[in-house]
Amino acid sequence: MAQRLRRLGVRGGGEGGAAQSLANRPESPPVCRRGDERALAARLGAEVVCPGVLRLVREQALHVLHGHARLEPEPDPVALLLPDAPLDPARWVAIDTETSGLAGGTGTWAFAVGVGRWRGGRIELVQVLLTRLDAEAAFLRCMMEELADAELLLSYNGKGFDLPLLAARLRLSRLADGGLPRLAHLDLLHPVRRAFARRWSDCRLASVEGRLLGLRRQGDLPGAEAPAAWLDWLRLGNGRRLGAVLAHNRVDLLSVMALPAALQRVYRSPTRFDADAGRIARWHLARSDVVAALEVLQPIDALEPAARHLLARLHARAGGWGAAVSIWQTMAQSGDPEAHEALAKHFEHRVGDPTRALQHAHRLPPGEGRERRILRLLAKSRRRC
Amino acid sequence: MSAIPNEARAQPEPVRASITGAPPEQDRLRRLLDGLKRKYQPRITGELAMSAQPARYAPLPETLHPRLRDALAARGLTRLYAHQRAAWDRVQAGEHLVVATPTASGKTLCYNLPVLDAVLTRRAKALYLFPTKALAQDQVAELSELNQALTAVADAGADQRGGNEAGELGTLGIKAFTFDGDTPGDARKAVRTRGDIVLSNPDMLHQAILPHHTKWAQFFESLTFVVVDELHGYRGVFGSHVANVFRRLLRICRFYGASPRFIFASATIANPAELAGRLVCAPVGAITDSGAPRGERHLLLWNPPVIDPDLGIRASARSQTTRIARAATRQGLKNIVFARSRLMVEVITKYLKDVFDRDPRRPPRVLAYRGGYLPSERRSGERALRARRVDCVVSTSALELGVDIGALDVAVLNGYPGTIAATWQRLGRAGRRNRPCLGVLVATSDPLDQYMVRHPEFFLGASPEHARIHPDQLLILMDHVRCAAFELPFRDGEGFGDCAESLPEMLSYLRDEGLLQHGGDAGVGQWFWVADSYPANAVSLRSVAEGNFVVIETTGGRQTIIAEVDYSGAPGTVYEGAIYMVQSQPYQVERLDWTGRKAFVTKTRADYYTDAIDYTKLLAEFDRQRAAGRADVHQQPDTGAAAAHGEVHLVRHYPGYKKIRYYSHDNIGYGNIDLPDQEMHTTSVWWQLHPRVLERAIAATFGSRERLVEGFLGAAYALHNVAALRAMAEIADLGRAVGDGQGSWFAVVGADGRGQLRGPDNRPLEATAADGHFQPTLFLYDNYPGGVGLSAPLFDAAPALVGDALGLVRGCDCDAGCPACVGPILPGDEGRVRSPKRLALAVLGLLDGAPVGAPTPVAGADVHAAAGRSGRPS
Repeated sequence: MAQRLRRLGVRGGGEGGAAQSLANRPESPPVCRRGDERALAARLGAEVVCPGVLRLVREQALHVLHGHARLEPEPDPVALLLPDAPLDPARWVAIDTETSGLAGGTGTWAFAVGVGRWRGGRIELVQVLLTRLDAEAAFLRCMMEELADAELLLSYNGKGFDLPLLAARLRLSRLADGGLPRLAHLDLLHPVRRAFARRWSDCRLASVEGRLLGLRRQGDLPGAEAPAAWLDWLRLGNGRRLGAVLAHNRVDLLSVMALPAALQRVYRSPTRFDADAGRIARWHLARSDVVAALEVLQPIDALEPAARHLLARLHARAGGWGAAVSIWQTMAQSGDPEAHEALAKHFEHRVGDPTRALQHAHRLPPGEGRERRILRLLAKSRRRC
Repeated sequence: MSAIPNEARAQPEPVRASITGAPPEQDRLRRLLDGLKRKYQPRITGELAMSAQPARYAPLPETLHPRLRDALAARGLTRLYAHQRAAWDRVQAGEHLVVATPTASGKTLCYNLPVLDAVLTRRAKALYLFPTKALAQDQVAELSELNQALTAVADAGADQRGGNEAGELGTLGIKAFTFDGDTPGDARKAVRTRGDIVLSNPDMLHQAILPHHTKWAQFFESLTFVVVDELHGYRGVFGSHVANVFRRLLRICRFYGASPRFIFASATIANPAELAGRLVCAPVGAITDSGAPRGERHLLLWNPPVIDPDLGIRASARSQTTRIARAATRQGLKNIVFARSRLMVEVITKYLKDVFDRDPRRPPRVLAYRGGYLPSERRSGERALRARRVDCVVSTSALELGVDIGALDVAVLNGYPGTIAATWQRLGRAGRRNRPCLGVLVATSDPLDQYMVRHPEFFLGASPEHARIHPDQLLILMDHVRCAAFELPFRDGEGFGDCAESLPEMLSYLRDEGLLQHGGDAGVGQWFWVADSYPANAVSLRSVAEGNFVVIETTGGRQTIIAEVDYSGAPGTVYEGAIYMVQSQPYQVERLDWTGRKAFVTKTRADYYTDAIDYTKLLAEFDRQRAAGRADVHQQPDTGAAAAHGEVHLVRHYPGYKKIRYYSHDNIGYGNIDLPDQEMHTTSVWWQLHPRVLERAIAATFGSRERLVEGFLGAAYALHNVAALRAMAEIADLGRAVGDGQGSWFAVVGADGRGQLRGPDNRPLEATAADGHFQPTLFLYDNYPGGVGLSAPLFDAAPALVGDALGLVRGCDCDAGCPACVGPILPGDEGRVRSPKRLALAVLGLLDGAPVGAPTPVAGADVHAAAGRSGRPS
């Protein structure tokens, strides 16, 4: 059979296609060696909960800084980012999984789940590691116990990735989802994207750490290598890199826990952090919080044109025409067509000064709208004369 | 397709002809038929008349959900055709079922009735699969009409029933959603969790639903029916893939504790129950006896007249087709013309419009319909047809599928569609209840067409072909074992449908490739997927292995994908310099990115097209196969002719291409093709003659090895064509080759029209130089990597095939050979004593077991006598 398959050129690979052809195939089939789970547990400082499932507990004192960020649980930032969030930090749980890949579908495993929570004056990090493929159900049950008292999940991209994946794994093991998908969930990727998607080249957690938490990881195992580390264990019984994977996961958890407070500072004064004040203001507006929106749109000099227009509109809507006109005029001086249009409208309809309106209309970009406006204003000013 | 409105019309109609005073269609059709037969008798090679059949009715089932009954009544349907009732009864009895009745016999209701009833009474869920997105969308439109009727009934009855008693469905109706590539991301969740009936296609099931089955858990848990329409299309490579997708589907269903019943609907094929049974690995009952009424039917087989007897050239089929369509349209008969290519649709449409649509102020009477048109354009065409505003529609096979266009009076087929089943399906577009109809099959000069019209008894007497699939084709099977392992771990001892290959060996192979890992204790272990890939993305249901090429237009700096080319077709069609045509617009290939599977083209106005030159080396390793017992052999001990079946290895090389001017077909230049050789392992049937016989035959009949090889080439041409007929395959699904099977020489028809021997490097070789072992072998191989099961049945029918080929060549009207029998010949060859036709007949005769030197009767033979001679007992 194997010969026939090889003659036909059957490849193992999925999308790899021609690139990962036979050349990549190991010369001799890998001999599967089951690693010594107890030795691994001892080395990692973990307990063997049951065959195939290791559980690892670490603690972190609150006064130790994470980068330059503090780790105290703070209800205000959480309430700011997720208004209906349950506010008892003892019931908040940060969650992050390590997976066998990113391909999606039922073939992707979560092999480690890390859970972080505040326990009095310290942080407790619990990690569950799957060391045998046939122990997944026990692994997931163990994870669900860790989440049993959670009222709020904190994560980074957990809504889009970790939780759907866990839901799929629970289904495959015929386990109930324990209400996990319906739990209140603050996925910090979303507020980060809102603030920085148009400013940073990417919004990966590592980037956030560097820019907002002042954290530089030392000797960290890149997340992309986690699948290979786990496969080494499964295939060769080599668990050397698993410790690094778990360490990486713990840093992820701490970053998730430190992020709300850091983001609150960003959301209070976005321009100080070079964040997208316009989008943050619109987010406040969507929640009918005009005051908060006005607060973030300052100082004007630091705002980009779209944010300035938003600010001008907010002023105008509140009757603050002087403030609005002054913003438009500043922008019009630098040739902003939208500002000219706003001023043309303002002088035509509100002030009733077609001549001044015409000055601005002439500065509009060519087009049907411009011609119509100019003709109308000319007629109006003639009538007035 | 819209079964319900059709059913509503199915009630006996009053005869209105006498009231309006217009001549009834009966008379007009009779007039057309008589006229054609009177004027063109010599062109009509066969005729068939089938008498009318009255409708057979049965009452609606007693147990039908009352609201469904009311909704049907509201649409004028108070009874069923007998086959619809039979389908209901057998589905209620728990059978898997296939309904294979003619076009427009109300197949849709056969599955909608039990499904809707189950949704209403049991909150069952159903998955409908159609081969194309458009058909699924048609069906949703139909279901939503019926759904409105249901909701209306519910509103009217709400007072009497009072409150919530009717349940949620009473107010919400039945939710039918399409799920395809166009379904927006945010709507997908609603489809998964709230759809009662999800309408999709096999490709989506394969790539989007099964690999994400946990998201569909609710749906699978209640899945009660899987409806598969257009079953007859699930054959060959596509059918083999889909059979494996169903193996996966059934695994997933078992995981969720569901065991859905399958209901198939099919056009007429020989083996609907067998095909459906192979697709679901379970017995499937068949309903083939339609209770729908049918009018009288007439069928004519039409061969265009010979205009150059020397070269065997006939008038074009196109000219005959337009003539018949014109006559039908003039008679006021609604007619459809089926053409085999999109280009031909446009040409025939133009010719007919030139006659009937010259006045642009009047609504058009002639309409073209084909793939490649925008969906909106197609829909409006369908509406015009249903409303009978159009007199003549010209279409490709696009209208062969169950698109609702109402029924017509006349169907003209411009060329044999390739299979008997497809022929009947296209002819079935004509034929209204209680009205007579006419079908005309116009032959082109292709060998298949010529064989058909010259052997009317073959066509008229034959049952439609068997649709064959080969789900255990190793490449296809491995693709789906991989996908299945991704979806759910295989358990030790688990099977994969009725797969005959060793699953543990395949899984071990995948483990060795690093995709799987075996875990758990021996005997109760499982094979877990551990790779970071999504295997379904790499598997296309419409081809074997390898990726398709995309054709990208770069005219004007922008990059637009304009077409897709199969991997196997790519080296011969999108090499650098090739002219590639889309909707008759020529493009030139500027650059081919072989590894990236991309061909970059620009628009051109070239006055030529290009034709790739390729040659194929074929290695059969006869001895090794014989030793391994892998080749099967039929030997005729008396005559020294033998047929065998086994594995072959092909190497195809493309040295260059020819530039050919339009219309004149002059060869105006050559270009080089620089591509890697294409290699393929596949299965083949082959024929050989014993060396002793060869020597005697060369002396007695052929005169030289070259002429013998030429005879083999002609015989291969004829066999290739009749084999495609037997295998229900397209010509391109099979390949042919003549060589020694050892790679030391192979034969081609040279530029001088004579057979030539070529060495391994494609250099011409003296036949005498091929010394020692000289054993020409004629191969017909399965033109897909690994084979898709086409060649084994050919081997079983090998003697009959040779008989068919003899019949084809003998019965051909040409003198020396022509494209309709042994392949094109050069004008100078007519006068040769040993004409290509004679040589091919001699080789076929030897393969057929005739003694060396037996006479080879050739031309002038009348069709029936020739057919009689070829009718060997098989």
